[in-house]
Amino acid sequence: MLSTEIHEAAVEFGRALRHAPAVVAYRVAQEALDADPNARALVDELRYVQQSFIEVQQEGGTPAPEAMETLRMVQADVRASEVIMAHLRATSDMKAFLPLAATEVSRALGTDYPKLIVPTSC
Amino acid sequence: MLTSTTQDPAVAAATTAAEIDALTAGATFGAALRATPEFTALLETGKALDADPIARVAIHAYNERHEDLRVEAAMNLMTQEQTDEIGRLLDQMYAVPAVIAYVDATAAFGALCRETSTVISGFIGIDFAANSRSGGCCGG
Repeated sequence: MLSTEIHEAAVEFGRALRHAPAVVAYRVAQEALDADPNARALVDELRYVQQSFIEVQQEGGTPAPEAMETLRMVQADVRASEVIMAHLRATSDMKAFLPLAATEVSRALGTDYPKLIVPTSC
Repeated sequence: MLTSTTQDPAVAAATTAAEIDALTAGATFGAALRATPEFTALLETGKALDADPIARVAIHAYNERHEDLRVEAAMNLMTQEQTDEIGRLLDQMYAVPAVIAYVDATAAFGALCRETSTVISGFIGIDFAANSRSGGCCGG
């Protein structure tokens, strides 16, 4: 159970982060992706094709030329999707910004805050 | 710091201001964490640990043997005798009150930090812990 002081400090930090451009842009991009069934299907297809590739390679095989052609086509479709590409850019910006913010926490705390909060499995 | 891609100076200024606000709030939050009793306990138990010769000997003995057997442990090649020895050294280390106090303080402060992370994640709608390190939750 957090004390009032620390809860309020966390809330203020969360609120400020929520208004940071990188976080705003990510949320907008995520909403756009969620609202676009075609883009979501394309992302799922790319994941499926990539996973198939990995499985073949892990078994020591080489993906068939048809499979490679399928991958190239799906990748091209993904690159042509403005919604997906906007989401990728926003994700990249968000992943660059949040560590900066966490570094500020660590600097004031005097110890590595991310190290304390990452799941044990990491 | 991130820079806006827009050419509009007003928008760029607002972007920078919002980023600065977030970073400043991060520093304020870090200072608040530093002022918690849990962090004070962590500092104090850490100092006590450093000053305790019995604890230092026990920790050194465990660390040294653990390092000696790192390869065997990683390759699952430790004998029963080696496993028992490591277990014995670990038990000896955790039997020292200063070690127990430090471990407990570390766990308590870690739990507090994870709880704050959950609050932050709730506000931003993104898993803050998983995205708080460059390269993902495991760093890199």
